[in-house]
Amino acid sequence: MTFKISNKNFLITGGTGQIGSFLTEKLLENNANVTVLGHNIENLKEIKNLVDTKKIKFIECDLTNGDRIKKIGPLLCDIDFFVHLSSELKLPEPDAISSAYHTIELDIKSTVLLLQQLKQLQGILFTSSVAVYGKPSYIPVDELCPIEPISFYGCGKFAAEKYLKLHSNDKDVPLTILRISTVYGQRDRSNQMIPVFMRKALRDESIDLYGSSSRDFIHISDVIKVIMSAIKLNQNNLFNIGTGKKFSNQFILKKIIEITKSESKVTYLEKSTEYDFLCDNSKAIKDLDFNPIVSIEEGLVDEMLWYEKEIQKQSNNE
Amino acid sequence: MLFILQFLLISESDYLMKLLVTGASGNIGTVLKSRLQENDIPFIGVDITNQNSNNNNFFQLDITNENELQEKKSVFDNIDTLVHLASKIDTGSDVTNKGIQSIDVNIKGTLNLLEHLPSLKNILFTSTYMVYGIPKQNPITENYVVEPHTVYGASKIITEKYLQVYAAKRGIDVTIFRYMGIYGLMSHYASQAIHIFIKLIADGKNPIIYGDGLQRRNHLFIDDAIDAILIWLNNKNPGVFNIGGKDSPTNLDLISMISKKMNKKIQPIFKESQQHDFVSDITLADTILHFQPKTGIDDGLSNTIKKFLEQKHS
Repeated sequence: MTFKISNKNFLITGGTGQIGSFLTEKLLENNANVTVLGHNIENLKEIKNLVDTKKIKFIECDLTNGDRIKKIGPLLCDIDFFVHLSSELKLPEPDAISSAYHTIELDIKSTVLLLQQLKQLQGILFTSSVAVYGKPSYIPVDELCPIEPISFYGCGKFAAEKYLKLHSNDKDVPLTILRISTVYGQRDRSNQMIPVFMRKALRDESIDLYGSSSRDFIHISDVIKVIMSAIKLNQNNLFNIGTGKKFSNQFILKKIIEITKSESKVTYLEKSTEYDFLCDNSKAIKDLDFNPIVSIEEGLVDEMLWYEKEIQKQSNNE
Repeated sequence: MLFILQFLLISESDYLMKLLVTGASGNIGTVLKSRLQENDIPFIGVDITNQNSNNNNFFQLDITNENELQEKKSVFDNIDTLVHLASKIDTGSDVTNKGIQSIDVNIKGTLNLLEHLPSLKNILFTSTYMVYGIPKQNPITENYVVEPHTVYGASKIITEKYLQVYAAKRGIDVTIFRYMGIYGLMSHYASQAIHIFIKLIADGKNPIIYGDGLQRRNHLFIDDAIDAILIWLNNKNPGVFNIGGKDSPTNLDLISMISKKMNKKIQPIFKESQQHDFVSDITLADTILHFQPKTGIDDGLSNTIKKFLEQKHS
């Protein structure tokens, strides 16, 4: 069952984020009507222009506020497709109990409350994370690898998957779950490794490098392509999304220092829990026409150029 | 001499009052309580419902209520072992219906409670076979893919995951029991197939069988379910374990056995429906926990029917 994007009503949570802002633009190019739920109308970042020119509808809604979700319910009654991206990559203390409660509110309760409002859905896409696998039992990690999260973030993503799946089965709405590995590239404001290194390297600040584990880094443009493909195909299915290549954090840091011509001082530190992560992406290649093409070198340069502009903008404002 | 004896008694009770049972007035909790008392194992029981007992070691508590948890600080500070039975049971599949309630009680409530038990070393959490959903093969081992198709199953598997992440950070040992459907308690579990069959057959009504009646399940007798907890209290071995019954009768087996035992002639009505076997592999519980179910289906059914008739005539 393929889904025609043009003229359909999309709801995007996390629409101001990295994936959300690019996806919003892409859906508009495909003539979709887009409604974005966002935390704060003062902080629209890349989609500000689209809101100002009324190309998209923006509804201010803190997803941890259940009453607010219920209140905006009537505004969501004609949504055809639900793209659930909202995610908290900046938990101040990821191991604290407050983070557990936060994921319960943000990932679990808000998902259920939103589903209560969305009564005409023809499709759902959820961006989960490879964090659901925790320290994986084996690599490359396929979709059957045991679910053993080691973070509350991973628990929250897993929980949202399960409630969405229940709903999808119960109401017969196709659900695509994408368990995405580490995303990087422009508009990445998270506190993940690559943007942190990039920001510091560009300012020649000292950098702490913990351990020597490897990850499967996927560039934002490859992620957007596969999301668009998944929406069009609207399958009821689950996929790991990564490049199938892994790079160590030492390699990444070396590349970043190289391209930014940074004079940052690097301190090498030990890390207690170390593991490598690598996606087996063959299912997505086969069923979603997935074809990641951005090399790590190209991707890092892309992120660097964006950060240079951001830093320039900031210093102009100061 | 008397002094020493007194000292021993005090220190022993002091030592033993470290066990907390939540959901103590629930389906399993009620039976567990009496078995603990029989075995002279002291414990503190809590439940959201008010149980009119004079037992000093029982009190009413809502684990989602921060104030109530704080009030019991002096008691909770000593607890080192928790049998966590408290749970919201919603076996429906519509998350938009009562989904939020089971999130608050099962997932958030569990973490809430643990935050108020600073000396905790061991947790037994009772989960369910429903975490697996519809099996594609049988028997089901603990590493089978989880794909719950009920709100209850989803909330239990999610609680398992949060619990494991949380406990690892605090160095607490976690044991999870994935119980099969439990029978042998007529007042509870009204939706259990065995209980429905007994009630209908007792009234001379013809039971409805969904599908061909050949689907098998290793139904778990309540005494065996409790035995597993008592064994755990002895060895506290951590891990995730399927806890299921000894036999795996079909629904037709059950109906013919029950009608024979109750001396009733009945004719089941068949309704077309997709049904599936569900037999959990309980080898791991045997190997690591040293638990084996003792009650065969024949004895289990006789016992359950006896309880049903006693209750009916009382």
